Amino acid sequence: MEGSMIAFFLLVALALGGAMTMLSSTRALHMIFSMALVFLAIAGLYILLGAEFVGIVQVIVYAGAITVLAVFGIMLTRHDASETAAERSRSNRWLAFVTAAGLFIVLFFAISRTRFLPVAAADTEHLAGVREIGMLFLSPDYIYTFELASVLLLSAFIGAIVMAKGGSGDE
Amino acid sequence: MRDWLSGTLSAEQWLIIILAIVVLLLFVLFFVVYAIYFQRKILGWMQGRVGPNRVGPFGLLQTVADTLKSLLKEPVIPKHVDRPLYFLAPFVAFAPSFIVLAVIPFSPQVTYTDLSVGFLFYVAIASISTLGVIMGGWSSNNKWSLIGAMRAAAMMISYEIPLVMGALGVVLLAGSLNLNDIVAWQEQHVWNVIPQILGFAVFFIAALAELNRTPFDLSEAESELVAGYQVEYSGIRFAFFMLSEYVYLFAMGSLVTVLFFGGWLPPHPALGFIPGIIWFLLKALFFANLPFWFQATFPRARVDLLMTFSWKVLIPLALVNLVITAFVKAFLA
Amino acid sequence: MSEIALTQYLLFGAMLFVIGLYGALTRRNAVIILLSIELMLMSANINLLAFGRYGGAVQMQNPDATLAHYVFAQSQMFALFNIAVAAAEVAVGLAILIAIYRLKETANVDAYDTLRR
Repeated sequence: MEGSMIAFFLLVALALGGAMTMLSSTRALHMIFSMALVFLAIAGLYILLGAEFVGIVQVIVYAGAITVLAVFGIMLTRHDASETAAERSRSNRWLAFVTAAGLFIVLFFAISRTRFLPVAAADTEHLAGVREIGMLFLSPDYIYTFELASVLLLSAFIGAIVMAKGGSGDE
Repeated sequence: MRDWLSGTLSAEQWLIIILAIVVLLLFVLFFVVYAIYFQRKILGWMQGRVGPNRVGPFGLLQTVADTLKSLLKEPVIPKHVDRPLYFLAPFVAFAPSFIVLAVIPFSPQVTYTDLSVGFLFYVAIASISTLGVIMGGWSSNNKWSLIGAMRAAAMMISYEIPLVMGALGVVLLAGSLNLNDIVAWQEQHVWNVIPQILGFAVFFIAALAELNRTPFDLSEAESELVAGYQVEYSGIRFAFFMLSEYVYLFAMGSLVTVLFFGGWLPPHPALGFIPGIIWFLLKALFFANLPFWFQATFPRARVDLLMTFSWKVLIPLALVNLVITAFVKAFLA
Repeated sequence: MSEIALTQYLLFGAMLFVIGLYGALTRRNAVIILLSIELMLMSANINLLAFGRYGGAVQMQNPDATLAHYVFAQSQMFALFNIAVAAAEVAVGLAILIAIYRLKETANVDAYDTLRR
């Protein structure tokens, strides 16, 4: 058994376990922290795929920032944010389960029936790293997309502050 | 790093890996014990006291005794805590502090991983500790610990930005995020602290905030918050929180050394006969002990000025530094 | 099955997507719904990276590795765009949630039914 196999199954088990805990727990904070576990496990999978930079960015953005933001969201809204089983309507849950399971069955057959071309022996030593990604971002093909993404982040940043502050009418 | 992924490890390789990790852990624990001792001695000296001097010669065994006490103490678990999170929090806070040491190049021979994105790895993993702090503060079900945890989280998140941006000048100069490459660049040119003095100032101030040391120790301000997020913890769980704090002190000292003070390089090539690891430890321990000096001499910052300082002073300064560095590099090249 | 290949990653991505979908449909707390949507975005990221890494067709037809590396760098770039968009989404989403919370005093999405009444 190769090291990568062990790492893959360990990370998948962690991610799916975390996701299942998220679905089964009743307190909002428990859900968020189990989600943080999922984020970390997926970052591990990115690194296993050879995308080290993306994996690290995933940890910084998701585990570091989004999780903490979500915790603040829970704490700033009402504290009884925990959901009791009675709160959710039964039929709605059933419908959601059937939809999700149906989608999974379709996806499962689609993926397992497809014959992907065999992969040439992977050259793990020289995978594209930070330098290649940076050059690609700044290449003429993607530079506008890159700038647009920065504008998007900036406007989201300002918009979030304005909205969370409550607009000018309050002051 | 990738060779163990593509093959299986033999028994000896496992043994070597485990031994190396255990040696590092023991060293770090030893450091923590004596960092606490030095902290108390330095504080005592600055305040005209003697400091610990009862247990062992010169009080050298004081921290050992304290550690034994907290290990043997009966753990008190308050009634209204959220048990799973309460038990998990100290470990979530501690584990990252040890993991980040993996990317620090202690010397050309003693490097645990040579990750291509080493610097970002440090920042990313260190941000996981914030989760442990929030977990501990929230699950304790106590308003002091909750306020402390909220303060700590807000501070750690907003000071992460100047921390990274302060070091970006270094990354730009070396052209790499790999900590080994950064040291190699300094070997050929000059220690980064000279061209990057502004970046160093921003980085070090942000690092003090990340470490929750004075003047940014608002999350555990004794005079207003009892002890912050750890107030409901006792015995070994409390010891884990303390441990993570001091291991971070060492890790941050190492990172400052690597980024700005040439890592294992001697101050002058003529001093190269002293092994690199000695130089590294000297510099890292100096920067790890510097916060104790600050602790004795600086007052605590006010909580409402904290965010303003990060967003309106440190981040613009770091940006100015980055732009200047980029211009200089572009014109010299 | 001696090596992890495309199929395993794709199946894992599908599982995550389905779990995220179920979470988004059944949870009532707006914060948790946002996080479930993040989970679905992330499963898309896994697919992107897996296809980029094991882009079988590209690697088979071009024995020289440059094109394969270009494809992998591209897939990483798309994943980074995806993460940037996701981060913006969560920041704005939580800000909207807090703004609505001021009016409704609840984070339960069932209570946000002003348009229906």
